[in-house]
Amino acid sequence: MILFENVTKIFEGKPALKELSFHVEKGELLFITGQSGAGKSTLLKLVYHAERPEAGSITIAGQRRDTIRPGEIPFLRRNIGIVFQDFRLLATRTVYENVALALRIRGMKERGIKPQVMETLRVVNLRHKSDSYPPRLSGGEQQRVVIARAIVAEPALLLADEPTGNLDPETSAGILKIFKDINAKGTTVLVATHNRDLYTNSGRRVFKLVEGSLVGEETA
Amino acid sequence: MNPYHLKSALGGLWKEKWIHFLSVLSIAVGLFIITLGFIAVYNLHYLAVKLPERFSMTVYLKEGVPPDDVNKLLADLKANNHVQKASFISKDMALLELKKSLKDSEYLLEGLEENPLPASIEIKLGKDFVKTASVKQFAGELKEMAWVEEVQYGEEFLNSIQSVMSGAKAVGTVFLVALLAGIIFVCYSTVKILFYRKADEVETLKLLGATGWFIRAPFLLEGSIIGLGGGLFAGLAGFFVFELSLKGFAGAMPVLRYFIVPAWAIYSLPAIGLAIGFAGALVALGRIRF
Repeated sequence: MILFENVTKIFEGKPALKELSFHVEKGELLFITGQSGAGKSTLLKLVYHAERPEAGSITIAGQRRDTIRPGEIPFLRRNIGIVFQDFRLLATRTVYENVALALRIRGMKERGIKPQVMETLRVVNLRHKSDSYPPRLSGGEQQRVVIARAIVAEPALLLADEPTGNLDPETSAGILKIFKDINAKGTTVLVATHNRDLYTNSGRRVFKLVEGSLVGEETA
Repeated sequence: MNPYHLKSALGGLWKEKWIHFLSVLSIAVGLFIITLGFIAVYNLHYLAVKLPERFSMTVYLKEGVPPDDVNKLLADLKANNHVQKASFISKDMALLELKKSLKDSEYLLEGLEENPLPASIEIKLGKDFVKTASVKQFAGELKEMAWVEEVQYGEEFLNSIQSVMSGAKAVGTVFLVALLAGIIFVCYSTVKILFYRKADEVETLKLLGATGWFIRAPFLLEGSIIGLGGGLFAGLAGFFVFELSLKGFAGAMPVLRYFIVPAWAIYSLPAIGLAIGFAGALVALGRIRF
């Protein structure tokens, strides 16, 4: 599903990722861990084409990054659900509208949108908040709206950047369960986190990044 | 384009309604001034087209011109390609015309023992020949002819009206283009500001997989609606000023009766506003990079 070969990314002359190579199988749930600034977010951004590598090759779902034309990027991103670290919710739209946006972008007809959005809000336990605006929600609730928006279109790949941020252990466990459930349906899930509790005893592969280099891979 | 885009555009407009209302008013004022200028140029152009049809030259003949020479003169004139019509007005006919025009003041002619009016030939020239230089040259040629005393054609009037028309057309065109550019700039800057304010939202949409057109659509709609609003206001102002006020004042100022206001110029303002708004927004958005 994801293949990185000797990928290097440089910001302002400093390498954020150094000759990174790894492979993620289709249908896998995998964790990327490391301190802040280790390069976790950069790695995810390279996957969803928000950044270009300075060197190396990236292949997503069989397509090499350097063969993609700018006009194709939106269509490739539609196969990817993203849980952003900074949420990126639209403050002036309701929870429902924020989640529905992912389907509208994909050109889904209005009558099909409502049942799918409401079902996804049920999965993240936010159905009762569908008419609320994001600024009125708690951090955990906002995080679940972002997850709902990322999974509503049933993407082939789900990327989550620090999905449990500053959440309490109970909420974090709930979020991990959602990831496991969607992964069980066949979606490949990549979670970047520094929250050890999230992957300990998960039985999944964990990549450890230190200053942009992959220093270890283990199964937790 | 779907209902979501329209809802999004209307929401965006409503959120900052006063700023957008000012943009609408700026466009309306600009379009209204453009319409004023256009109607002025249109009327001048109309006058320029109609002038040759009304233009005539009068060739006054010397006393005692024999009928054979008059006929020869008429035949020569009619043979000229530039002359559309040449009619002889005898001394008696000229006096009769004068008497007709002095219907209530005939006593002015009572003391006259003989007819003081000269015989003349009235000439209508072909439309394309009514130009200052060509008419002047033709008048010179006529003056050289036998039995011709004087040629009158309102040289000063022809000179001034033609220079005013060419000047007005040039100034009018520059003025209209400048104002049109100004209006496009109002739409451009309104949408550009909106776009900058929504930069975060645009970035999110891009990351969620939205295409350039999906992102542009609400902004294009907003620009078009602002332009349409400006066009509607300008159209309404035009309708009240030209259709109602001018007709109302025509009684007091008869010259206004000759003023032509093409209705299509007023009714097409909303469509023009919409097109300008759309164009301004399109330029403001430019290429969306991924």
